[in-house]
Amino acid sequence: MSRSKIRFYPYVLNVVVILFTILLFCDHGFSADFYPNRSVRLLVPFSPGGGVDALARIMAPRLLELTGVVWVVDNRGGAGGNIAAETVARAAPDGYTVLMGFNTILTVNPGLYKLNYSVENDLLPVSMLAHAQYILVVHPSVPATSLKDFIALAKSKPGQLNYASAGIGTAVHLAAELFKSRAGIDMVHLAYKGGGPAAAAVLAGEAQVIFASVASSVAQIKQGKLKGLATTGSQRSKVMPELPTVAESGYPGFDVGSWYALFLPAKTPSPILHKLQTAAHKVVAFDDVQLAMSRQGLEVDVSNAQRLRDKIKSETKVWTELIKSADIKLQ
Amino acid sequence: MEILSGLFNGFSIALQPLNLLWCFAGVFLGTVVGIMPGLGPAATIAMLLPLTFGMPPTSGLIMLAGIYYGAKYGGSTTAILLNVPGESASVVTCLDGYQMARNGRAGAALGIAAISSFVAGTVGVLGLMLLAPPLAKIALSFSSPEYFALMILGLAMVVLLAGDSMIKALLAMLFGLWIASMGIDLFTDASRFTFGSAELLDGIDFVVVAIGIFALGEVFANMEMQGGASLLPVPKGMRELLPTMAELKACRFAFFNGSVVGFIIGVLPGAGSTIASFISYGLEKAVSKHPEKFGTGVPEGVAAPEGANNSETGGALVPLLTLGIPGSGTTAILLAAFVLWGLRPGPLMIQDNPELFWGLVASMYVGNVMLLILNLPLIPLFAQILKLREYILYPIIFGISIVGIYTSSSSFFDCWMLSLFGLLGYLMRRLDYPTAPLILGLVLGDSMERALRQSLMMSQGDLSILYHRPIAATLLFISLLLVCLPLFRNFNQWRIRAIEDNG
Repeated sequence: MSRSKIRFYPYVLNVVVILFTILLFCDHGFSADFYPNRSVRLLVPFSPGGGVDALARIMAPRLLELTGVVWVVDNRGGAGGNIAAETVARAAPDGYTVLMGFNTILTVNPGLYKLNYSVENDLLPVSMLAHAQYILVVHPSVPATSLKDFIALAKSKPGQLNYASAGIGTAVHLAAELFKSRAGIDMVHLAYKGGGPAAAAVLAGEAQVIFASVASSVAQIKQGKLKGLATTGSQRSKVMPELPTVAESGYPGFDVGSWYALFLPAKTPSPILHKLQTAAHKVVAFDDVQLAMSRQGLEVDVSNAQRLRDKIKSETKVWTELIKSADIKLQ
Repeated sequence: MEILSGLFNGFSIALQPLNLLWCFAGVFLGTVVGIMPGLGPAATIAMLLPLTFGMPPTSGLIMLAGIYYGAKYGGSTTAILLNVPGESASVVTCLDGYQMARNGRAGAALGIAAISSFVAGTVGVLGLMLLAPPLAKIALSFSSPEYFALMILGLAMVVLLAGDSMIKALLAMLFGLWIASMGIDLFTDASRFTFGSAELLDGIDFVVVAIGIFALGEVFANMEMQGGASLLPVPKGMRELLPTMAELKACRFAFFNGSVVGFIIGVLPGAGSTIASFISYGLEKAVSKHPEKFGTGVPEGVAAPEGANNSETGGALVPLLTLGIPGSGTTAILLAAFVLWGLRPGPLMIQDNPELFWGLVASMYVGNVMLLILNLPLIPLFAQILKLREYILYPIIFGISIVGIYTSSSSFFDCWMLSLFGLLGYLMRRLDYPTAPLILGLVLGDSMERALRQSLMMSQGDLSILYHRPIAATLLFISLLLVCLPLFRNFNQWRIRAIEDNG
């Protein structure tokens, strides 16, 4: 009995070592074929709650179906999303760390923060997922029923209208600043901590104007608590097609919105990139993902990586110039 | 009549077996995350959100709301037993709850917390049911100047929280206000007191300070008493573990006070449950016949804040359901849930979805009963933790605190900050500085500054906006009274002494 045991152990040990060595080789040499073979971290650049987080969490089980591995939603909030983006930029380029990107992190933050990484050089765009636009809404007491009226009113009362935002450097703040500079009007910025208090301020009439998300303002507009004047995208919103866009009302090229996209570390090999691109295109086709998107006022948009790259470049230019000219500073 | 039929309809929904199950799952999970410091209801609801996506909205809401108010029940447990506030709203419970535990009344403190939570939770639901639509208007009538006045009222509570030395209390409060000012200034984008560190740009998290000062500070201070420290007395038998009639009687007013204050402050989206619990604690102390005993373990000091933070949930659902305005991180996530379910909270939401509103209200009655039944039998079990020897108990507190902070932010920087504030808490104990005023300053500082500056932007720099509005003026007047009363009392005592000396 005891003799057979002694012989048995070295044998098992050998097999283990050999298997382990094979595994090691697999991980290096054939990683793309075997990718993904362990769980993937999906970094959400904000703390739990809110649209980006909800979308990531609804996509995660579908991504498991598509790729066969678990996608762990990892919330890394802070510093306007830079912490999550930097984590991905510095992660091993093996496809197991993915960023759920939100537009301001990639296009606004480079002009606003001193970043420890480069959006252009350290991040690899995988695919766009969805985009949304904002609605320019005013308190019902504002005597304007169209964008033209409103601009005339603001011009006649410079510095007397307040606009609310969810904080410095948020998309809503910059949308309003861009609008101010294009329309040549002067409004006072009231910053609130988050979208909730900002919306409350406009409902209460403390501020008169806000660029609100479709999801948060449609019910209020339909019930007459707020007045919608225009949408901010390049095309009319599907949810409120009766509203004109700012661009068609005399400010061509005005196109502000939010968008979501996936990113990898820059040096990720292209077979992995392609696998993820396929998964991204498939995941937005699931019914529940589409439903979640449409209820949040998002429209599916799977523009390819090159168009995403161009979009980042052109938007970064717009925002960086605006941040300079409007003198918005964080540090 | 309409309310009765609505409620009847609601109970027929809430008592469906499946909804009962969801309700239980919610309150059970809520209790668990409430007990664990760091892991809060907000993160839990966010994680479960996708799960409820395929459920009928009413069932989903019943479960998520269960987590929300269930967490308020659990938060008091670690506050009382270990001086670790499980939720930010439980900070005030530490003050008297932990002292009660040290006096051997841990079971009674837990029992009072549970009963007070039940009473106030039920009052909060009653308020939500009866007053939601008219109250929504009040929520909007509170604008920045009113919030500023409310925060001033909160700060005036420092008079009541101070121990022997008013100067030390004020210093501690100023320190709290200073910590609150760290990070990026919301208006001028300047970074303040960040010492060039990117981690400090978002300021210091309240939980880090509270757990550091309360829990770690306590551990450090106790470690000093080597050998000399004896085990906390843990009474045996069910009778000793439950509050006595006398203790419950002492809490009569606190149950009422906590319920009403909590609900009213809950309705205001800009205030929050921590402020509610501070104000009801202060009110309790102000009207008490023995204010000097607060902080040494009086049952009212547990009942008032625990009640307030539970009825606050009912209040906070008012602006959420009737205006679509969330007042806290947790209600913001509930709002996200509504959007995902395809509902749009707003003035017509209750009218358009009566089964959802009444189902929720009825489930909250049911859930509060469940929580009471769930929590009372657990008390003897939880109280056993005090039987542990220090060399086991203190490392446990240490571990729970660090793990709690790390799970809430996944940042090592916060863990370092935690130990820093632990040392500060130790120093404050050694030098006899009260810790509650620091927390008060920290909780109020940020929102107070914001409210003040928003008011001044609205009025273009005219200070009169702060006292020309009736609600703001009333609140400021009460604060002034509160600050001046002890002065009068001192003056009176001095006068009596002077007369006696003369005579």
